[in-house]
Amino acid sequence: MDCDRVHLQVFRYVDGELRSWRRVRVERHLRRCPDCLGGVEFERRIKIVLRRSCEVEVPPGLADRIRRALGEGDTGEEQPV
Amino acid sequence: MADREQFEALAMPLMPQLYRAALRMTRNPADAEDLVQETYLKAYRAFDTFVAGTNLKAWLYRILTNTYINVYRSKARRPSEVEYDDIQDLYLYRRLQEAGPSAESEVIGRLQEGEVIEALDSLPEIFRIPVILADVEGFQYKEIAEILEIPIGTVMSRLHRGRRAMEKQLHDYAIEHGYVDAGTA
Repeated sequence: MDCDRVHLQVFRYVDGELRSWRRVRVERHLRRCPDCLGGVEFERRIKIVLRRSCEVEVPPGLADRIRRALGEGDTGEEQPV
Repeated sequence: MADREQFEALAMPLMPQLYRAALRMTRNPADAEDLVQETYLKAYRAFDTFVAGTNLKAWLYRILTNTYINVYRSKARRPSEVEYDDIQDLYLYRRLQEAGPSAESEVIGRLQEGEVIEALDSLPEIFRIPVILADVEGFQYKEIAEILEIPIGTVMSRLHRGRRAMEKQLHDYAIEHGYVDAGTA
């Protein structure tokens, strides 16, 4: 497998979405191509940074507000808009 | 009406994750709270149709996504599926390699949370939602296809385009804030 074909599959590779035989072929290439390996590592790090950046505290009171709304639905009361 | 205690026991533990996704969909904390509450009310009303033992998390995200699309979707022009076709694979990695040795490591270290979120938020929703589901929420392509009710090929196309567009945006921030030299990058 050449670099161009690996580039096309980088996202699916880092997402763990390649079938095993394709994954094996990509990994064989990565073992002898530091440039593509660097690209794969880079995309992995971007995913981690993105996930970490989106971490957020749930606003206090939201769980209670939802439970209350669910309860009001049960008793047939009008739901707040 | 479904058993509320049972519904709450199964569904409420997923609320923090749903809120995180809702916030990146609406990009606004007040709308995100309303979206999550509306999602729970709809899910509770439809809970009788949920098949026990199937993927509750994916089911809740489908309700969340549909509610977002129906209620909060922007009136902005709907971008074409082939948008960002000109951005190559490994876009940011390539640009940073050109900028000098280990520039890619340095830039990743310096990117601020706010910049990463801004890059994600800048994506049109047809590309942003698959990125949220895959990268923030950790869903597999097959699950995203079920949540969005689109073929897996479309999931891949939108997700990969969305990521490339984000990388281009991050590259612009890196130049703007002096993490890399515009002359070489």
